[in-house]
Amino acid sequence: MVDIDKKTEQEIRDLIYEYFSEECDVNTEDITDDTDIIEELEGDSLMLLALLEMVRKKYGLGIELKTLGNHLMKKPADTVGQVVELTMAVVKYGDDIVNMEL
Amino acid sequence: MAMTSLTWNYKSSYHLIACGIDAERVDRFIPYTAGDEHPMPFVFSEEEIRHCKKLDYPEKGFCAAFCSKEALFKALSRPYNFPECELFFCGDDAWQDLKLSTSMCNENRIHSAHARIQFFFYPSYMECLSAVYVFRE
Repeated sequence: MVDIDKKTEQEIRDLIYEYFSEECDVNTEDITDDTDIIEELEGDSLMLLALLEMVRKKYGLGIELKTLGNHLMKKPADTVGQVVELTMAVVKYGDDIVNMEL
Repeated sequence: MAMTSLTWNYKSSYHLIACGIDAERVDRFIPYTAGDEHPMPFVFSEEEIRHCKKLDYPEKGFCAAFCSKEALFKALSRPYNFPECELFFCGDDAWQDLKLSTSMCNENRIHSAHARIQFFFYPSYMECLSAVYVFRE
């Protein structure tokens, strides 16, 4: 498990907000944690995969897609806030994410 | 593995157990065509990337592979694990075999999976549609 400090948490949050703002052509101010990625931002799986790839590269993570898929079956990420939580959990727990009660 | 879906009929010894469909805009894959980096290792294998980059329009190859993988996992209602399945795009409007990992075939008792890939042209963009058919022996 990797400890993430407040600064890294904020960095992850900013990264995700900026990513959706750019990809979906929406102002960052118009995005909140409750914004639904599919319904409100017209996002899709490719967008989410590209984001996870970016996070994986930035934080040097080796997590597999299968692990994430299994985790998402238990705890779906439909809103921006849920993606922020998921990303923090991925950075913190890596492949152990499936064993965590999050 | 022999191509079966194009000639499949009710007398065939293979049973169609699932089908899935997915469509994406081809231009979304243009960013993955440049550079020496391995684009999206979550999604594409080294061999798929080498194959796609040799095509006249690599973005079409990447798009067809992505759509087919997504369609396959939708059909099986399984969490995405794209590296377990590969598609080496061979042309427009074509039936193609999906290359599946042994573990995937054994776990799901799959004999083979085939994708029908089509491209649709709109005034400002092109879209790829892949329909995947999964067979069990």
